[in-house]
Amino acid sequence: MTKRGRIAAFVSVVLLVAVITWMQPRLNKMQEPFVEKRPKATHGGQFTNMLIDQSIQFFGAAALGLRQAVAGLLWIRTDEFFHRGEFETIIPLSRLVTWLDPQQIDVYSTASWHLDFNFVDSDQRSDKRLIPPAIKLMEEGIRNNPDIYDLYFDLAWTHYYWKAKDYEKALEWLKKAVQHDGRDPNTGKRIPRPGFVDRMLAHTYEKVGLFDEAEKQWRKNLAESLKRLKADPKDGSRWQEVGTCRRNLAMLCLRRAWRYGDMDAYKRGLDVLDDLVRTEPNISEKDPEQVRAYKAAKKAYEQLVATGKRPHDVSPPIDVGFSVKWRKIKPKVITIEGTLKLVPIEEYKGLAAEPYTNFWKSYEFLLPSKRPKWVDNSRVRIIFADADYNFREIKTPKKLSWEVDKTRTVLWDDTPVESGKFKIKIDMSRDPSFYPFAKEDYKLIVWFDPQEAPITVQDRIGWKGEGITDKNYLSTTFHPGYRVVVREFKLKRSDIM
Amino acid sequence: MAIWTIAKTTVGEAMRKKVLNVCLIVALAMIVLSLSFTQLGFRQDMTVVKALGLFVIMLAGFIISVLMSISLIPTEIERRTIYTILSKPVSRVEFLLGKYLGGIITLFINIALMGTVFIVTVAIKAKLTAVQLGSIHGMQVGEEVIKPQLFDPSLALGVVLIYLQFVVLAAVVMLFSTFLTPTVNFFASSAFYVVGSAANVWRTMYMNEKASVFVKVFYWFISTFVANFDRYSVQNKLIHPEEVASMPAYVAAILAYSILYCILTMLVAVLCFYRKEV
Repeated sequence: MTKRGRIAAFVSVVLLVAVITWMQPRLNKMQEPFVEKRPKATHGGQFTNMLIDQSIQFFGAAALGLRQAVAGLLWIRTDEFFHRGEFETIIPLSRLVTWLDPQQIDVYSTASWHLDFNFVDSDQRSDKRLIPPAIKLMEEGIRNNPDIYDLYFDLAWTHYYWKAKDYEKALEWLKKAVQHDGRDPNTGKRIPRPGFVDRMLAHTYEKVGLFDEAEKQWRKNLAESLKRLKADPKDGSRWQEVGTCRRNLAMLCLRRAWRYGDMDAYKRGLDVLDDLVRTEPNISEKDPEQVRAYKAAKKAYEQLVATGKRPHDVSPPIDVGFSVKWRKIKPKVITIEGTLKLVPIEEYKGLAAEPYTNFWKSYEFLLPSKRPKWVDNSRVRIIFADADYNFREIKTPKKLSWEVDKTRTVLWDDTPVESGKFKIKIDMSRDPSFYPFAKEDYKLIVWFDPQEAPITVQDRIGWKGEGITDKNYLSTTFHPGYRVVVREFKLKRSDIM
Repeated sequence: MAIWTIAKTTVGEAMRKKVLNVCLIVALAMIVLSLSFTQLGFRQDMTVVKALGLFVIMLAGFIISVLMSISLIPTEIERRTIYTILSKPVSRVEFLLGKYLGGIITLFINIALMGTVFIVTVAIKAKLTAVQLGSIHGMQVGEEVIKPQLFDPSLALGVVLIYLQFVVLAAVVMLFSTFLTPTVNFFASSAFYVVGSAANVWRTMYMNEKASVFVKVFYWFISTFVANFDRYSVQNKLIHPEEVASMPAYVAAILAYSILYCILTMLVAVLCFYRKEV
C-alpha cells in the first residue's frame, strides 16, 4: 500500500468514527419505541440498585431472542399444573414468565386471579391474605403495559370490584382504564377498547353514589354507541349496545326520581325511554314488557305532575331489627346467627317504582298464605380477624411476595338473609395454616351494607340505606356516606380456642 | 472483477463446509418443529413459534458467521494458497474484500433460507389455527382472526435486522483474523458480541451522574465504538405485535449504521492486513 493510500485510509477511518459517533445518540432516540418496557427501579432509581433492577438485560442480553421462547414454554408448564390443580407451583412459574416476558398480559391476569380465588380452605373460602400480592402483581403488569386498557380494567373489576368489594378503588382504576385503547394481538394495531369498559365505569359511579357522574358517563357511552351504530347500521350488536346504554341511563334517572323525588330526573329518564321505544326496530314484538313499562311510567309521571306530588320510595325508613349472636361450638368453630328484617314484601305496595317494575303486582294475586313474606337475597358480611386488621385499606407489599404472614388470621365470609334471618357455621379448626390464631386479640364484625344489596331491595331502601333504621346498630361512620347496620365483637384468644 | 471471483470461490467453499450445513439443517428442523406447540391458546402458541424461530435464526446466524469468518483468511495462509493468489494481479485489499463479500453472501443464503422457512412456518401455524377456530366459530371468524398473521412484513424486517447484525459481526471477525489466531479470535469475537449486545447497559453506566470521569469515559468509549448489537433486537415488537410507525425508517437507519460500521472495520482490517507478514 502506498503512503498516499495509507493516509487516505487513516483519514477515512477518522471520518467514519466521527460519523458513527454523531449517529449514536440519534439511533438511540430512534431505538426507544423498540426497547422493552421493563419494571422501573424499585428504590427510586438509585444507581446502586441499577444492576439488580436491570439484571435481565445485563446477563440476558446475548440471549435476548430466547427469553420469550422460554417464557412461552414455562407458560405451557403452568397450564399443565393448573389442570392438575397444583396452584402452589403456578405462582412462582408465572412470576418467572412475567420476569422473562413482561408483555404477556394474560400471565398477570391469570396469576393474580389464582392468588385471589384459588387458594381455598376446607370450606372453599379463599385466603384473603393473598389479595395484596395479587393486586401488587397486577400493578406491576400495568407498569409494564401502561398503554392498553386490559390490566387496568382487570384490576378494577376482578380484584377491587368483585373480590375486595372496594368500589371506590375500582372506580379509581376504571377511570384510568378508559384513558387507554386496546391492541390487536395479531397486528399490534390500536383498536378501540370494548364498550363494556366504559359501561362498567358508569355502573361503578352509580355504585359509589356519584349519580351525576354516572348519568354523564351513560350519556357519553350512549353518544359513542350511536356513533358506532351510524357507522355500521346493519350490525345487530350495535343496536344492542345502544339499547343497553339507553336502558341503563333511563333506569338511573327513573330511580333517582322514585327514590329521592327528583322530578327532572324522571323527565330525563322518560325522554330516554321515549327514544328507545321510538327508534329500536321491532321493539313491540321483541320487548313488549319494555313498552308497557314505559307507558305506565309515563302515565304515573303525568299524574304526579298534575297533583304536584313527588315520589319518595325510601321513606319511611324500615326498622330492620338487626341482631347478631355468636357462639363457640368447639375450639375454632363458631356459629353466627341473627335477624335482619329486609324487606317485608308488603313494603312494595304503592311504591312509585311499581307501575314500571310491577314487582308487587306479580305477588298480589297470590293468596296471603301463599305469598312470600320477605324479599330475600340480601347478604350479611362477616369478618373474623386479628384485632389490628384493617379490611378497608388493602396495603400492597413493597416487594412482590406471595409468602403470607403465617401469624395473621383473616377470614371473610357472607351469608344470605332469608325470611329476615341469617345463620352460618364457621369452622376454622381444619385449616391451621389459614387461621393460625397466633395473636391474643381478635374482632368479629357482622354487617349489612346497602351498597351491596340487590337492586330490588335498593328500590325500597335506597342506594345508600336512606330507607333503613335500627334502634341499636345503625352506623353512619362504618362506611362513610352510607347507613349501615353493624355489630362488632372484641374477642380474646381464649374465647375462641 | 478479482473481488467477485474471490467472493464466488469463497461462497462455494463455505457452502461445502459440513459443520455449517449441519448447523443450518438443525436450525431449519427446530423452526419447523415449533409447529408442534398446540398446548395453549392461539396467541400464546404464536408467541412460542415466533420467539423460538427468531431465536434459532439468531443462534444459527451467530454460529455460522463466526465459524465461517474465522477461517476465511487463516485457511488460505495455512494452505499457502494465499501466495498463489497474491502473486497474481490481485491486491491485498481485493483479496480481503473478496473474502468478506463471499462470507456475507454465504451468510445471506443461510439466513434467507431460515427466514423463509420461519415465515412459512408462521403462516402454516396461522392457517392451521384458522381451520381450528373456523370449526368452532365459523370459517369467516377464523379467517378474520388469522389474516394478519399469514404474512407479516415486519417479521421479514426482523430477519433482515438479524442478517445485518451478523454482517457487522463478520466484519469484526475478519478484522480480528488479521492479527489473532482462530481460537483466540473465536473468544474475542464472542466477547465482542456479548459486550455489544449489552450496549444499553454501558450507556446507562456512562450517563450515571455519580460515576467518576474515568468510568464515564470508559463506558462512553465502549458504548460508542463497540458495535451496538442490541439495536438489532426488535424481537419483542415482533412477538408481541405493537404498531410502530417508524419500523421501516428504523431498519433503514440501522442499515446505514451497519454499512458505515462495516466500512470502518474493513478499512482497519486492510491497514492491519498490509502490516501482516505473509
